[in-house]
Amino acid sequence: MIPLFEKAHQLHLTDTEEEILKYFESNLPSSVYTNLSDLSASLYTSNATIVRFCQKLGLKGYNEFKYQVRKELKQLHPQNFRTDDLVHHSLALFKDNLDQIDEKELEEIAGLLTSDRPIYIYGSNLSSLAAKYLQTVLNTLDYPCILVEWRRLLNGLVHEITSDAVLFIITAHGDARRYLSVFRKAKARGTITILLTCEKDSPLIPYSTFALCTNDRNEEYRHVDINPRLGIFTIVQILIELAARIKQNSQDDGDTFDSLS
Amino acid sequence: MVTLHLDDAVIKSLSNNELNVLKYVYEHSDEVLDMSIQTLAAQTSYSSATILRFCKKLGYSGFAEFKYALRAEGRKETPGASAAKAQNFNTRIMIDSLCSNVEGTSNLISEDQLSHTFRYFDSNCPIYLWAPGGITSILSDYFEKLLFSIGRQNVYKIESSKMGEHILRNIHSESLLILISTTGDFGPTVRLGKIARMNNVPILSITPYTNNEVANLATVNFRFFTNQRENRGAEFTSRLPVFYMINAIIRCYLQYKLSGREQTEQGENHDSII
Repeated sequence: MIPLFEKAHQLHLTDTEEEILKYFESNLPSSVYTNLSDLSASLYTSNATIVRFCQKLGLKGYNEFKYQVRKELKQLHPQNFRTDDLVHHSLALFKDNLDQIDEKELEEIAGLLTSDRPIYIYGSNLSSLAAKYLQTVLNTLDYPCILVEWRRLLNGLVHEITSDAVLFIITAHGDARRYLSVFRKAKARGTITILLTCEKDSPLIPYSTFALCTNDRNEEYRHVDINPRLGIFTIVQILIELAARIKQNSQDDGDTFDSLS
Repeated sequence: MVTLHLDDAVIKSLSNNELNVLKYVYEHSDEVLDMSIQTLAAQTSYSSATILRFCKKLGYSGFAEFKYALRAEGRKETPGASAAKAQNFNTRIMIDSLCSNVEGTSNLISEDQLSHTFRYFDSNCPIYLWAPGGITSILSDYFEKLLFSIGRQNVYKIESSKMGEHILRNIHSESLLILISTTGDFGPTVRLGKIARMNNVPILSITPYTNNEVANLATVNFRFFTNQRENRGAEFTSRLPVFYMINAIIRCYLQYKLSGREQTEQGENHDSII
């Protein structure tokens, strides 16, 4: 039996979850190619239940679950192991990240980014690339905004900016405590803060107006941060698409985007 | 671009292939008006039966009626109509199209290309990374930073085309030039590629799926899917597939390096087993 399924059997599962597990076991290998909606339809359950089941097993979502099952299957039958497996894993993670986003929240944020408020986008180290990407494209779309790449500057800035400003902070890392004072100050001043991170339990979340969390993993290779931040780039891209849409609407007709903001 | 009367139910009834046909029709509606069903099938690389099924699902008797409706819509089109279309544009559809671009890109990555690339990464040859400016430079930055962080030394970013030409004219042919282009035809990038070719310097390129000059110059070429866009001259084409691709290359290389090390260690310790 596949180790993942063995692990599942040891967990305390609800009736529905037992059923999901049974379905996967009895329909191998075709079950690893079913998509989430088809599966939930044939089991008379919801997508969320299946995702919760996957998360119980310590995985990020359904796509990673499928990937894991496939991988373990391959280990049992190693003759057809392929090295492009890794590419499939990245794709699975990418899709899981898309599945968990909140469209309404992103639309609201895109509305803020395209309003007349002063916009500051912060990111340092590798996150600064995501920040720069967002800033450059927003400027291309005629929504001026300011890029901040230095932490000290951010610390000073939060004392000076007007209260209608929007502070968009990208930080992948767990050492979020260094930003705590920034968020506290911003909250006290009534500044809108948008946090984009991949730390689910970041201590900054309670202080931020909007908190977006992606499924990137903070990893290190020889003590160097190699988290590729692909989930963060994905969220940034979606915000860009939404801003582009608002731009297009406002070009066609001055007040069509009222409903979005 | 014209508007078709599409509602959610119709879109949901379409298969992935049919959605791709729809995407093509949206992007090339003017050309589609003059196409035969065979031409459209050839253009989209689907069978004419798929096209026909697509038309029927949209509620037309066949391709001819579909074209007729498309033409009629085109005539009616006013600025107001396109605003209505933009409003109907659903966030989910946008996300799906992002996803399909990335998925398509992911499927284009082949082991062959990767192992070719890894040979250059493994040798300690200098890597020159061209940053043409603008948004594409962020991609070069990303590639550079990730290469550094997984321990690849000797990576040099070229930010000025004059300096790039100078370097490329004088370097040893055991180097690698990395060119990233969102259109595949950007003048300065093509120029650097040509100089590198003349001096027998291998080129790794990341370009769109279209037939383009940079890709034709390259020794190893990675391709990605994206839709070209601009706002009155300033382009803002999505770079997400390229970020994805760079990440995939780096991930695979890291894995390859780690597994290679494991194997040599095993080889040293357990010679008898292997």
